[in-house]
Amino acid sequence: MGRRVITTQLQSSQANGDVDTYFSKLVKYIPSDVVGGWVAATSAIRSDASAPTNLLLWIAFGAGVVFTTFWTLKHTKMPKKRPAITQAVISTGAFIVWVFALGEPFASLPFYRPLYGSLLLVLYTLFVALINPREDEISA
Amino acid sequence: MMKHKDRSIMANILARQASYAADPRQFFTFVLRQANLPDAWVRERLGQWAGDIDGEARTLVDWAVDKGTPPNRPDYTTLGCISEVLLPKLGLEDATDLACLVVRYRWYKDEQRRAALIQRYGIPQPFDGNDVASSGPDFISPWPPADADEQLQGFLRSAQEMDVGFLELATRRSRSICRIEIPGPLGMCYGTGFLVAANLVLTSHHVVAYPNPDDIQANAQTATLRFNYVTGENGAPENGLELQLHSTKPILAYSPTDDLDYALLQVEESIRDYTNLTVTPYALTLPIRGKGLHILHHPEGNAMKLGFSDNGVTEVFDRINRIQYVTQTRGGSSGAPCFNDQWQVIAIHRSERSRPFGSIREGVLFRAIYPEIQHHLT
Repeated sequence: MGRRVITTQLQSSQANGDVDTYFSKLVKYIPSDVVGGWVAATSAIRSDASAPTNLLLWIAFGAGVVFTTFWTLKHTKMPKKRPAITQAVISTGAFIVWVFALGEPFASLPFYRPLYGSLLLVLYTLFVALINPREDEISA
Repeated sequence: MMKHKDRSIMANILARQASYAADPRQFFTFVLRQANLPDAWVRERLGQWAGDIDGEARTLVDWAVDKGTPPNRPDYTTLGCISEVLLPKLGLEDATDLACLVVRYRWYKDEQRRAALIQRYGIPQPFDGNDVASSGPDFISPWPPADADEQLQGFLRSAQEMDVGFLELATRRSRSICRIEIPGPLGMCYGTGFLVAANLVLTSHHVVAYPNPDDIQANAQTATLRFNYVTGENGAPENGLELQLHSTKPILAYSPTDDLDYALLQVEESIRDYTNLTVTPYALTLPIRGKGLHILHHPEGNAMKLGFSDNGVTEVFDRINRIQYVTQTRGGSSGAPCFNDQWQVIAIHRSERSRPFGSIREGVLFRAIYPEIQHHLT
């Protein structure tokens, strides 16, 4: 299964696979590999008590946001198709939401409550898979 | 162990057939003799008569269940032998029910014979769970419950009524449909096409864009068109009528895949000798949302199938020459004609599109293609 969300599929027998459904779009939109990397990175940062933990977490978060965007664009590249910008934006948003739900570095902000993160994660996860990227949609 | 409900279904089928016979007792005798059961078994059964048709049918089913497998026909159970006699004599609904029972209880022990029944009667198979990964978390595993097969039988029994005239027109139109086969390094590419003139077939451009998208004429020169590729009486597809395209100019006109996505193919001249092939009529009016849309196609290269929907048209995009519908298709359906309720072509099927929940099918309006090909049709 490729990572790009497929919204249009020609139907000769040589066309590969089906269009993505709600569940397969959900799987493709959430950058689980980057989130996994984030969990590992935060553990490593916290393990050194002498380091400026909060600063490093914010730097890692910024790097993660940029990385998610380019990582998604790279893995969704397909011949003769426009870059999957919508999917890259959604995946980057998903990374931010996951980090927010996991806590750090947002936990250092005064307004932050873990409840907000949990609710945002649930809402984002439920609704994001309803979005169909317009990169190869028809314009009615 | 055969369920009571299924025994009743089998007994009802037998009783119904017996009631059509001038002499019901003779009917049961006939069935037992034609089933090629051991002579001693037949004599044992014929020596009894329950007194009425329903009673005899139920008794016969119970007796056959008890007998198990006849020693002279190890590939069948006794009920399988009886089913083999009954199936050709039944109407579609009873035959489908009986075929479901044969498959469910393996009354035919030969897997290929069961597979032929499954294909012929379109018997749904239980979900085997192998495709869970592609459809997300397995929320449905406790559901449906163990009696899912019965639910499926119930579903088949309440099948929608279809007008026979509608089916006759569909059959007539099916004589214009062909499977398009183009060999290539990744295997055979299948699509569907249909006759728009005595020797002209219309299909999707992307079907003939395989294997070399830059030389569709060369691709088309290797193509084979297979007309009348339908399931035969034995449940397997018949070979159909195989034709090639014109050797020097197989494609008369086309529009790229991202535009009108069509190719007008010129078939070898010998096609005119086959008088059983017919040309598909077309309509140039704009289809209406909510109206029926029916498709004759070769999904996955299989024998011809009819996809129908009474209110299949969901959107018509006149400006970009597209129509969307819910009628089911699969890979291999590209190039198939989309018919209106009068069985006139209104579009050529080309793709499937994702929607927030589920998906929708899409075709190119024939009225957009017609001006580009009309001088070839006269």
